[in-house]
Amino acid sequence: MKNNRTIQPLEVSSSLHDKLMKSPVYAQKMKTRTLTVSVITTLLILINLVYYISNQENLAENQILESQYANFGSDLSI
Amino acid sequence: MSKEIDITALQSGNIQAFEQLVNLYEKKVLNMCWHILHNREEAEDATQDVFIAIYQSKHLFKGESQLSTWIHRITMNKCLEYMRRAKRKKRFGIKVPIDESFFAVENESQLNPEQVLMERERSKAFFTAVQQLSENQRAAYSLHHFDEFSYKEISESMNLSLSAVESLIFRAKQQLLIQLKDPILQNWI
Repeated sequence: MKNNRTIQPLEVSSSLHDKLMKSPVYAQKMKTRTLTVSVITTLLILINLVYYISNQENLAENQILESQYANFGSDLSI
Repeated sequence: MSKEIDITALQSGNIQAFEQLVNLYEKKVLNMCWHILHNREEAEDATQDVFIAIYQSKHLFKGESQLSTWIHRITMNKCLEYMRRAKRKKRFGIKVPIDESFFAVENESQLNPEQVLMERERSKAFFTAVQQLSENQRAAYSLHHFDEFSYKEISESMNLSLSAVESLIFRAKQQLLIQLKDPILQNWI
């Protein structure tokens, strides 16, 4: 910096140094965690998809029953 | 520095080569992060993330640039990520404080208490103004100002053209000049 103003550089503490040395271990843990989360997410998506497909038939039936044609003919006497 | 590291060994997952890399670059990376983030705790977390990222993506280093350039680029990306995170935290009222070390006064014993106070206030004003710069301006300015990186080194670290870096630093200085009216502070810019 100008005006003889300097910032004393930080020294790496021994605890940080140890953590940095363990980076490969942390990287492996992160990889395992990411893989686990991906597998669980995929499984959840598959379960939802199977549930959705199996309910398609019921859904279609319910849609007809809820439409304006559901009670067609019931009020012809009027 | 990169010549001292066996890149092939590093890429094949040799732990000794990685430890050698940590020993060579840890201080540089920590200080880069500290100068950009202005907070030791954040800088230490960022440094740890940098070395994890280095280990995870070691196979992506093609040798087209120097190893140090590649490490600086990873460091820069992590710092930008941390700055964005700090910005999000700020929205929720959580502010990352600037370390007191940035307000330390040189030759404090030779100054009277009033002068020390004035110096501290100046430093506070200066670093608060630096923190208010946009992320890219702050990063480029900090690398140039505190880490004494050349424009070329900054352009390589930030993956920007030389003219873009020049423009970033110029605009950062203009912004600081607008915010800091004190002539002594303007001399620091």
